Amino acid sequence: MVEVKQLKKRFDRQTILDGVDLTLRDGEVLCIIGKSGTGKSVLLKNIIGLLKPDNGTIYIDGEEITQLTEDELNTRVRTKMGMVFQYGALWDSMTVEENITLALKFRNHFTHQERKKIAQESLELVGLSHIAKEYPDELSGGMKKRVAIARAIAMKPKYLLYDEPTTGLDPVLSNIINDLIIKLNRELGITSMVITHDINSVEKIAHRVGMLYQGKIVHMCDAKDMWHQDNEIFNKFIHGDTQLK
Amino acid sequence: MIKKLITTIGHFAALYFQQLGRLTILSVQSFLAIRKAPRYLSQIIDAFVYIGRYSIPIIIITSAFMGLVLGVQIGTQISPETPRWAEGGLILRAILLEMGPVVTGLILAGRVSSGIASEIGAMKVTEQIDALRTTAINPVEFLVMPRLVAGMIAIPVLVIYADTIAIFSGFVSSYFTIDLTWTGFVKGMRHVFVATDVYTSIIKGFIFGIAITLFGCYFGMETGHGARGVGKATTHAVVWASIIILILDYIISAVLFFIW
Repeated sequence: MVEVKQLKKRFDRQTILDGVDLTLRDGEVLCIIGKSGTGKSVLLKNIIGLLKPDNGTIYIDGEEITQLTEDELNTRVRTKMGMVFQYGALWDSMTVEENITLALKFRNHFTHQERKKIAQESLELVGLSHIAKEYPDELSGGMKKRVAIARAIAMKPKYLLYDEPTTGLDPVLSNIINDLIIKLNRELGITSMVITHDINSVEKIAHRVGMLYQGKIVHMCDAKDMWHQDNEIFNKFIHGDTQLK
Repeated sequence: MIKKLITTIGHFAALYFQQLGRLTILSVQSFLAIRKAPRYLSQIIDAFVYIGRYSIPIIIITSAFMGLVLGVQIGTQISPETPRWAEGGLILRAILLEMGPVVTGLILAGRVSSGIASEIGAMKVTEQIDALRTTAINPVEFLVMPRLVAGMIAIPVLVIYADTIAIFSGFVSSYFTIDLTWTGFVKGMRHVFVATDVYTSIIKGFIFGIAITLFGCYFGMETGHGARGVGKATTHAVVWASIIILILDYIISAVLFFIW
């Protein structure tokens, strides 16, 4: 379980997160929605330790992580948590296979053959077993995101954080990514937190949905009940009301 | 007016010390990471090929012309009373002590520092460095340390390589300018040669190698947003590496003069 308590983060004079409280329960898919620029990606980066919060605490499986050093984060947090970046963030000077096996090479004592096998299995899981030798710039946007997911799941994470996984994709590709998130959650038991603006995706993949607004989680509910909520801000956002400030 | 001036000076001083602090931290982390070098052997070899092997053509051209120019300038300016063979010694010392390491350093500041800064900068703006961190790979160990190690080895070698080519082309130039024979040229070199001149060249190459790679890595890691950020990082890396090479050249020359 991941617990975030009163998380605050400022950049220069601008407050981005102003006391975020949320819980990511084991086995669930939690979607965080909110307008662009509200700090959704900043929230994910704090949880995985890419950014240090100014205030507040983050517990991962009961361990407080905000005071950990980079080496401690590597051994205690990032061994069980992966992240899928908005544009994939694939290492563009390496092939797809090298992208997937690189971290295995440094983290675990797998042989070359074992690493190749894991890469192949991960690519099969995302439906891209034929592109192992391609370079990222030879792939489409949707393929890059699926490779990024393959790279993350090769590490067998307990938690996976997705930063806008369907942004910029057509509806068909969006559905492929959504199906993949559901598959990884159901078949591999990966607990997921998904940052998105895509309400269709939320309806399809989420167990719960929370809304980040003005630096706080202003509403949290079960995804299946999301159209029947009485929170005004939440309702305005999911209905695309232009009056929402 | 005075208050504004003091505020501006204070702002720039704070910015300067912030940058200096971050550069120092990166340098310390990179040197500490050298103990893990065996794990990153393939990255070190890649960096060595990029810094060393791919720099050979430009080093051949620049050092050849450096020697040719020295041959012409010294040959036409030594007085008629000075024996012609003295030119060999003058060229040798000028190249080993200054021209070889400094010109090679400045050329490599342009080629290597800029290349490193733009590569790491592009990785930074496309979140590839964040992706390394999320997969528990330390970017300093993976990106900076291999380049530092490769620079410390490859650049002194390139300096010696450049020295050799420049001395030979210096002879060719002297032959055509003042009709100096190979025997005379060697006599001049033997007359002034001391082993410490070679060590000076190597030491300068080693220290310039550290500066060239660290400045490239530092400005790459500090890259701001977008293509403009990468461009700025690249420019800063070249400018600062070049300035530091000239400053270090003076310091090393002065220190070694007192030691030797």
